[in-house]
Amino acid sequence: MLEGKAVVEDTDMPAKMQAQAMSAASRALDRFDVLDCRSIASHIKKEFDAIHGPGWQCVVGSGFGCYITHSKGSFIYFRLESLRFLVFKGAAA
Amino acid sequence: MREQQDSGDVTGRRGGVIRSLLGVERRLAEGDADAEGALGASSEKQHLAADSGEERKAVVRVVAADMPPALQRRAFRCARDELAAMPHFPRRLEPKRLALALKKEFDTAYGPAWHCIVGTSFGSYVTHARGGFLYFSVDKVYILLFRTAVEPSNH
Repeated sequence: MLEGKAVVEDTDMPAKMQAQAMSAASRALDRFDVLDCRSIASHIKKEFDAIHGPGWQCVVGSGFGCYITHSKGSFIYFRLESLRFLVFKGAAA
Repeated sequence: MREQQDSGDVTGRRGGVIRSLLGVERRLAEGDADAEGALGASSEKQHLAADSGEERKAVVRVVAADMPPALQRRAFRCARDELAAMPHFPRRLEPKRLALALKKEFDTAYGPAWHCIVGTSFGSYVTHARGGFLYFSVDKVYILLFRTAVEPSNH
């Protein structure tokens, strides 16, 4: 499978963490079909929970809008192939 | 694109930042979305008054829920009202606007932090607070509304 390059649309996240999100997405696309958005989201969320602690959320799709509250330094929205990816950690006071 | 908005209903400074996103809208023949936490499902039909005075039926279908019925009904009403206020001819979905309306209403009524995703094609995997998860559709628009627990920072 020819890997496309991920494009960051918006982020509030350290560069290293951004790279982790995009590589997790790439690995998920290698493993799951592009139409299986839920499995892709699951893969990414679980990886982030494992590396950076619990409370991460992931949304994957080709047509969605959203309004969220995230913790500081833990948000990225990027596109890869035909999909958009939103990864964030729910707000913690 | 970066949008931020102050939460007037929360005193003091929070660690969270409110942010909205709008993916490129792609109209599909059929919505292809699912979410974690599938439970029972139910259907209901409601009349939806349009600006032109015509009566339309907006079909509300619960795909999955872990939420008290009263909160669910509030979400349905809010979603239907917002959809009714959007352009009808040609019909155009404004997912960010709908997501914002729902999140704001629930943050205000039930406290932070709620998150809302609206669209025709998406999948998600989330961890939500108990009693704070609802995944439903109004006509062909899918709406995921969930709450995350606001916990004290470890610092």
